[in-house]
Amino acid sequence: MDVITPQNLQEALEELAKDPCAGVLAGGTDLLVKWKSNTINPPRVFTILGLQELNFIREEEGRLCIGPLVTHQDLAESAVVQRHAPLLAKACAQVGSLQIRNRGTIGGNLVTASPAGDTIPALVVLNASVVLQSAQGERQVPLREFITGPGKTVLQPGELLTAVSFPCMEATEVGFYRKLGQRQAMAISIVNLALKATLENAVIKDISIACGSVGPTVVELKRTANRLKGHSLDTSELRNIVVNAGDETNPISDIRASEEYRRQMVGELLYEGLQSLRRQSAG
Amino acid sequence: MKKDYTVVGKNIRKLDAIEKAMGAATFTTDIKLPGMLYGKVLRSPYPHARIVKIDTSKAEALPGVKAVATYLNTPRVKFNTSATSTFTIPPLQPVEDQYVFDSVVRYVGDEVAAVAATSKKVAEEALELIEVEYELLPTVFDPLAAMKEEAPSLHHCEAGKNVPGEKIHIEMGDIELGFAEADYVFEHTFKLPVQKQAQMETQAAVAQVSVDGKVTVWSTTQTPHPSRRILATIFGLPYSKVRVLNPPYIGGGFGVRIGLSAKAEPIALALAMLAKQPVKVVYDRKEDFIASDTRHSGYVTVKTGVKKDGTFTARKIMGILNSGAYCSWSAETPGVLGAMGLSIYYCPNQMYDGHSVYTNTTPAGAMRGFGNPQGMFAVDSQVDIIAEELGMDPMEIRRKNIMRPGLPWVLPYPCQSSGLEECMDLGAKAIVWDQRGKQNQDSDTIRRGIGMAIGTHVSNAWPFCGDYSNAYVTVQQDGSIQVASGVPDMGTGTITTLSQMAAEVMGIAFGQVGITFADTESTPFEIGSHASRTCYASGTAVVAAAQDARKQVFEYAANMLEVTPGELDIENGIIYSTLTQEKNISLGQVAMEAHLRGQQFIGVGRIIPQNAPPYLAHFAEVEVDTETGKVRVTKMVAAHDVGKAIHPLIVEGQLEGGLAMGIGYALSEEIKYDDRGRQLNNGFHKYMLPTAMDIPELEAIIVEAEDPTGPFGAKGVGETGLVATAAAIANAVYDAIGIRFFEIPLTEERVYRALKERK
Amino acid sequence: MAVYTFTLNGKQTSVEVPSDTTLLETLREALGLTGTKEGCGKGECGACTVIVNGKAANACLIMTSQLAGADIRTIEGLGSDGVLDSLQTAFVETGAVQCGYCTPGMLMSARALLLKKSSPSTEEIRESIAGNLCRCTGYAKIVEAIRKAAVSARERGV
Repeated sequence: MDVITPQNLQEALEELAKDPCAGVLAGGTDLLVKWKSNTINPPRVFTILGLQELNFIREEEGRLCIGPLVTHQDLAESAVVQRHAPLLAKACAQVGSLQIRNRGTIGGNLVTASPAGDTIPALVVLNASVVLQSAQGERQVPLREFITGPGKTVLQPGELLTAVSFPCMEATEVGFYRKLGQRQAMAISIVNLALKATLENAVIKDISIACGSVGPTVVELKRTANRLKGHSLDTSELRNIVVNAGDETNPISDIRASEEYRRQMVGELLYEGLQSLRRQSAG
Repeated sequence: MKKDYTVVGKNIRKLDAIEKAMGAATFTTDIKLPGMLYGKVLRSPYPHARIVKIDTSKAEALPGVKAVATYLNTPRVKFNTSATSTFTIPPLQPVEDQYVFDSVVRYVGDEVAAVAATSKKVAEEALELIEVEYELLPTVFDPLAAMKEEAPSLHHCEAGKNVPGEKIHIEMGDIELGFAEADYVFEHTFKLPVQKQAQMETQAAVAQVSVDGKVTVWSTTQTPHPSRRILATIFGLPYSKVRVLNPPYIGGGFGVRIGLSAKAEPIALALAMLAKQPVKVVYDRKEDFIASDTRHSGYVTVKTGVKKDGTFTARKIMGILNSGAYCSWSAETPGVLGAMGLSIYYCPNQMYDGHSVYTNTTPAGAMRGFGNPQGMFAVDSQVDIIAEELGMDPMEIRRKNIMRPGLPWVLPYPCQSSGLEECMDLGAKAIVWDQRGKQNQDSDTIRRGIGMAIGTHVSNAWPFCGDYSNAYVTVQQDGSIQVASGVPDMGTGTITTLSQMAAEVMGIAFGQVGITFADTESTPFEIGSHASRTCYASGTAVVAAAQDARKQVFEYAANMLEVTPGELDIENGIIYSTLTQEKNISLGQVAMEAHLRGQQFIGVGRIIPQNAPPYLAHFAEVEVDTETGKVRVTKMVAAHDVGKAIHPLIVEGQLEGGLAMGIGYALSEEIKYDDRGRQLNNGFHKYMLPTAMDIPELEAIIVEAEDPTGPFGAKGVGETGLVATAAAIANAVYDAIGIRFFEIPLTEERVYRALKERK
Repeated sequence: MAVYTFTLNGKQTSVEVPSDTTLLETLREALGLTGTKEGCGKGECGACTVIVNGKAANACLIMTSQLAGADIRTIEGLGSDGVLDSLQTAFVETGAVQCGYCTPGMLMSARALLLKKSSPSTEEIRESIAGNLCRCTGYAKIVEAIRKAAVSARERGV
């Protein structure tokens, strides 16, 4: 495997255009693990880690724009992210270990498109979209459409993910993120769940719910979200509404948990999330 | 007369700590010799198959490849990777059921061939060029199924279908009478998972053959002398022409390399002989998981007869353990399970029946606790069940029944010391036992609980296998001393502890002691680091050697001082008459005087250790999240009677490490197999070792009920930390949610499912 | 093969290795710095932790070719001329060292933490070493040693 280091974004895109099948190496916390396990063996990879133009966190016209090379740890610690999207900061803080968070990037997490990716549900409820750039130009794709299956995205050969952005959360919005893993650190999610809701006097005006590790891609609980709308977070009916939320998901059984447990945990984590929203709205 | 110790009992800086903290300590994986090749192993993808054809010609033709080893060009000598073959006591015979390579593979990961090449990459490439044709054979994965007539036979067995070695039977009193006398009889069966040692340094060896045929093997073994014996036997060499040593450090062990480091040593040596160049074999983490011993999984049934007042009248334990594809320690482990499970409580009528069973899974062997954690999870879970049925406090039923010095038990050595009751009392106080059962409101979704369990263990391997130690203590001309012991230090502080003992006996400062260890060439036979024995047994040998040297010194000094040897003592390197203080001379002066007249004081220690029971009481405080089933241990107290603590900080470290391993055993660690015999948890992201965020506050309490048989009264401490941990945690979970678990680990899903089923 | 130049333990260092050589291989094989250990090779155990540009990272998951101009510290760069630094001293005195195989990585994670935060809480200490597996100690004495080192550094005004 030849590791090639383009000097700037332009050069990276030109090189990629010439060799569209080459791999792209950022933090390496995923690609190099696969390479070492002989799952992949690209003859050439471009390491883009040094491209500072892809390493930024900017607030632009009510949107938060994040460069793909921002690491999970930088996002977790970023004051801007904590202010405008605390649930994303929380999701990033739960990734792997500190060593992994210090190297692994947000762009890498999205392109890897793991069904268990910790940041993806958070970005989905934040209505994120991604910018895909190639030597020919760029396009913007909603994150919901970007990932199409386990490890699969709409990224075309020659394209590079160059930004992810989403609207900053409004004052009326509250969020929640929870990861359930087999241990407190260095765990792949059994289930992870992100919530974002608009509240008015503890009544849910709008809500979006996304879960990871319960399907080939992130699953949005649209039916449950619809049923929750208009309810007060104080109502005793919440339990009943969320108890079968897992039915909207399509999990598998694997070494971490069974399909059934995952479905059940969707309801449990959602309930926990609603309790958290209630506390946030009260406090 | 007991004087205050000057070195023993003190937290002296560990001898290995500075080198290790600076990254300057050498481990096997760090070794690089001139001309050294890298060995890689081809492993079976099938759980049971015959190799019909194996073609290595393409691999051999690859540039950089220097040797390819298979069953066709390596010794056809059967052996056992574990040290059992070195100290199985006649008339029992060691089970020798493995070759370096065989024409039949019996588990996924079994060795098929190995390549030595100029780089790891070339060796790996060459493995892919080896062409193997397999004929698949029938498989069996569960020990109960493997005992059935229709199951495939993995090896020739005398004791029963797929039973390696012997069936163990232990008996005391009249078991039927005991059950007849009981007011109640309880019987429960418990299921235990496969746990992995997961030591941080994987199995590794470097082998070098000199031009005249002398062999040197650096490896991660916990037992250089027994490993030397195994290698010499396989390769048909005089023991004296084989040197096995640690380099000198080992990245943990926990039982996984008592004997060989899986097959790293014989594979490296076979390749080195073929290539005529040094060869290094380092298992990658996956190989370490799939092709190196695990803890035994299996089933343990406990049947107990009890009087209304809580007195035990009879206890019968039955154990069926999964040996995996080869025997390793599977003949001995069931015995320790039974003997320890029976010996923690006094009960006049006892019986144990147990054995292992071959299956097509990774071999199970020694792991810290050696059967005892399996047995005690069952025994002490059941004691809590009995206590509740009788309306007794778990502390009280235990206090009523615990083994006490002088009472009979099934072991062939007497119980001469016990601080168990003090451990229970101190532990109960630290955990605030009175809060048990009073911590939860009905509406709480996070429920708290407290539980306890107790246990004992051994201080060396006898009577489960042979055990003896030798050591030298040599007085140098300046009065400093050199200790030589064949025992490794795998992080347990052994060399520090042994040096402390030698310094104490010789009456010199700790800094005056040098130690040679873990090398067959410079030390006399010594069984090695296992069975919680190094402080107790190797220590006894070092003490004996130091006493021998001290006696020689005193005789010589008595002549010089014109006093009798019996009136001499030594402190801080000064030998003096206890009758006339002005008669004194330094050890250095005596040694130099002797040297100039052609004499060196060489103390020899040759000992067969007795045995002594350490005792422990564990207390766990847990939180159970009833919405997810997640169990968190929030505090763990471990009060241990270790006899004299030679180095309290080292003792605490042993206990804390054992506790963490026990917490993993109780909550998260398990290797499962798929229906094709492949390990599902073959890496650190799939096998849930506790991280620093999973381990709570640990409180280690040391109780020192000194044993007359131990050096300075010391007893074994290496394994006790996890003997009762799982039982204590399971009992705490019961206190929290009222659900009894008969199977560990208590994963979030297992607990959640049980909570749902109860509703 | 290509030549890569970076700062290693304060010294400018150049090394010629294939472009797909990991930092761990470069340190251990090309430079002979074996203090950094390999426990899994896949970023799952932390034994190979080094400090790259002030942050803890697994040397097994970094390509040497990604490190041009980087500032790298390894266990060999803690302390100086055989004198232990405050963390190493605390590890030695507290009993935080057992088999020693996780120790270099553990120390580098701890050093990275103390570079950033002089008074970490126990929770922060545990979080900072959660990527470093240790099978010997139960982490108790390691956490205690890091706490002690932080306190002693504060007292000395370092």
